[in-house]
This record gives sequence, C-alpha cells and structure tokens, in this order.
Amino acid sequence: MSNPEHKPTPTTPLETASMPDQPEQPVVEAAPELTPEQLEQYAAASHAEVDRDSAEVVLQAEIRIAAEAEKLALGEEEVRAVRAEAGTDAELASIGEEATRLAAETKLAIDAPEGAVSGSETAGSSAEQSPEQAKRVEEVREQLLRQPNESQPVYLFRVGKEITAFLSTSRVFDVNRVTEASLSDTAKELIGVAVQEAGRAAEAPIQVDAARNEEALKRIEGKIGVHSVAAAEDPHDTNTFDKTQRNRMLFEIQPGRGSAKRETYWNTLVFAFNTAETRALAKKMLDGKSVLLLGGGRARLGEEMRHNEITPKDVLNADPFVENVESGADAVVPVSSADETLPARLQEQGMEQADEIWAEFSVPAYLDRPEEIIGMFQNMDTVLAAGGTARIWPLEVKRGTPEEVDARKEALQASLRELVKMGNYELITYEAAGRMGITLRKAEQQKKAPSEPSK
Amino acid sequence: MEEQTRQKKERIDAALVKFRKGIAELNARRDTLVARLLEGFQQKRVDDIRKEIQEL
Repeated sequence: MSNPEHKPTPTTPLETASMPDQPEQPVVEAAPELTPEQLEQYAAASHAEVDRDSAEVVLQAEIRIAAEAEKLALGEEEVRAVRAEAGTDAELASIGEEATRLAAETKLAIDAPEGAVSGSETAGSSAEQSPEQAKRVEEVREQLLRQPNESQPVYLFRVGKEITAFLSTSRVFDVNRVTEASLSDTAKELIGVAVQEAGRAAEAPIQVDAARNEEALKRIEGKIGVHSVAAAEDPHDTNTFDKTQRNRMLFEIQPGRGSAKRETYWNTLVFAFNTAETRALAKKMLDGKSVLLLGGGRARLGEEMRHNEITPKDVLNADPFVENVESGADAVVPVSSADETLPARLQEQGMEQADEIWAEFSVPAYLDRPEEIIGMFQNMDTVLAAGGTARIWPLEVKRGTPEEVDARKEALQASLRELVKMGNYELITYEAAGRMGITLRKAEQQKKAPSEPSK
Repeated sequence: MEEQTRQKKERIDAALVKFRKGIAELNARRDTLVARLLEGFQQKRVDDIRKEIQEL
C-alpha cells in the first residue's frame, strides 16, 4: 500500500518544481505523562500549529505564482487570464476552504471535553445526529426522489452532488478522496437510496428532449476546457506518454499516487461514490455489455470488473500508443478513436457495437486536428449501440495557439450539434473533479429530425 | 486525573495526525494545481514570443 502522506509522483518537469518543503513537524510522542498545565500548553501549541499550517496552504501557492509571474515578466492582466483559463482561482479557493474546515474541525477535537469523539468520525452518523443534522438528512432524502423523466445519468449526477454537498457541510470532505470505509452510516444509507432510485431509472426508455439538448449545447458553449498537459506530451513517444496517468482504475482511488489517481472511471463518468451498493449498480449496468475504452492506456478494467463479479461481454481498449501490453490489461486495439477503420478493427475483435463507450481523460483532449475530433464523434455514433451510452470526461481540447484551440473547440461543438440534430441522442452535461464531462445516450429508435435529409 | 490527562493527550495526538495527513493531501493538490498553472504561464510566454516573431 502506498503512503497517503506522500506527494503525488510528478508527471511533468514543472510538477517536480513543487513548493518548498514545510518545516519539519514535531513527532507525536507516545503519550508521555503530562501534568494538566503541560497538557494545556500542548493543546495551545497544537492550535498554533493548526493555524499556521492551514494558512500556509494557499499562501505558499500565491507566493510561488507571484515569483514565477515575475520571473517570466507576465503582467497582472496576463496572469489573471491564465489563472481564469486554468480554473486556478476556484480550485485554490476550494483548497483554502478545505484547509479552513480541517483546521476548525481539528481545533474542536483538541478542545473537546472528556469522552467526546472526533466530529469527523461521527459526522452524518445517525446515532450522533443533532436535530439540525437530522433535519438536513431528511431534506437530502427528499432530494433523492427521482424527478419525472429524469434519466439515470442525470439522476446520478444530481444526487451525487446533493450527497457531496451534505457531507461537505458536516465535515472536511473531498469526494475525490473519500473511501468506502470512511463514509458514515448515514452517507452510505443515502447512497443506498440513490442506487435504488437509479436502478428504477435504468428501466425507463431513453427520452430525447430537443429543448434539453439545446440547453446542454448552450452550457457547453464557451466552457470547453483546454488540456495543457496534452500539449506537453508526445503521444507518439510511449515512454513520455506512459508518464501520464494511464492506469486509472474503475472503482479504486489510489491515494498518494497523484491527484489523477483519485479520479476513477466510475467517479468521473458515472457516480461520485464507490460503495458495495454502487458496485452492485455497476454490475446491473455492465453485465453482458460490450465496453469500449477510447485511449484507455494501460487500463485493467476487465480485471477489476471480474474482481467485483461484474461480467461484461467484452472490454476493448482502442489506443494507438500502447506498447508491450501487460498481462491482465484490457485487450488493446491499436487504432486511433478518430481513425475511419475503427469500426472494422473492432469487428475484427468481435465487437460489433459497444453498449458503453468511455473516454476518460483521453480523447478529445489528445487529438490534434479538428478533423480528428469530428472523426472521433462519427466513429462513436457508428460504434455505439442503440440504447447505449457514451461518456466523455473531461470535455477538453488540446492546448495550442489560440487559432488551433478555437478550431478544435469549434470541431467539438459542431460534432455535438450534428449528433443532437440526428434526433436520437440525449446530451447531458455534468461536473466531476472540477471539470465538465458529457454523457450521450443513444435512443433505441432512430428518430430523424424532419428537416434532415435521410442518408 | 492522570488517566484523563493521558486520554486527552491521546485525543489531541490523534487529531493532529489526522490534520497533518489532511494538510499533506491539500498541499499535494495545491502543488499539482500550481504546476498546471505554471505550465500555462510558460505556454503564454511561448505564445507571446511566437507572436512577436511573426510581427517582425
């Protein structure tokens, strides 16, 4: 097991240039005998440590950013623009808020009277609920009811957000770091209710709502991200490419192995939480299904599914940049998701159509040419079975010159518009780990829009 | 009294261990975020230089 206190493994040269090391912290002694006065001093010193270290989290970031901006002679406006594009302010504010909450919770635990139990261990637990907490739980429970015509992905994204918000108010909480063992009983109970409702939602037919699709297209407009790491990597060099996060897991977060390893296929594409009940939902969703990964790298999702008694029909990984496929890894079809031969190459491997297509931190963010982006979506339409679901997270294009980025974004939006115009797709936008993703569900019946010429 | 003091000390220690772990994770997140931003800075610089060269 990796040590969760370790910093993530740097994946780019700049990531190696991390913050200056924090001053060495005093080692916690094995409960030596203390007088009550000494204990009071110890508590006061602990408060001071908590205040200092929690304040330093954001402060050190700002110091480093200011120093680098000065070194590169970037003006205030330029810094502001890059920060806005990278989404730095919101993420840094969120980190700062978490540090503040963590500090407040720690100080409460330090000052707690005898016999008290740390808030974070019991937050949300029904046995320890205050009347306010119980009321909040009831409010959340009401929100877990599925709305009329709410599809399964829409429902899961909505209630994932509700439960996350609930847990965030009661303790220090980061949905991308939470493990099943650390969830309170109440949290698990709420997730269980959500899973049951989601199971019912799965039975409803896919309903294509043109107005909702239009709203989704509008949400996407101007919000397509730019993937800066993709520009620094040469996907044709497998050594370089292997240094990126190419072996994310389906369910299991990998603490201490970089932020990307906390992003899993499940928590970025389907639902924020991973519990026994959500894995049972995954089983219902995936048993007997064909799953296609686009740019899956060294994924071993089939192995992880088997481990969880999930039995898909097959799992294939279309990825042109994987050499020396490891034993136990998902079968690789060495072809780009944009390549027009993709459907034929999949058929050669026995996959006529895919029920699930997953692009998790891969395409379109790693595609160069706008034509490739268009080709990828055309392939997706060809390969996705009726009743199937394509999931793409994050919705980003590769960094380049402003003109290149604009052309890639335009190609992406045009592709989505084309799919929506076909009249048989439900387009859903959502947010996971601070980035926008989309889900495309293909209706059983092809319903051509009247204005569209038939093929 | 001694037992109470010992228990309280243990509880403070446990809270500190948890705090340090949480802060270490937040610092790691911050480092990744800042690294990503600095890459953006460098790219911006490169774009500016490229533009200047084109204008010459």
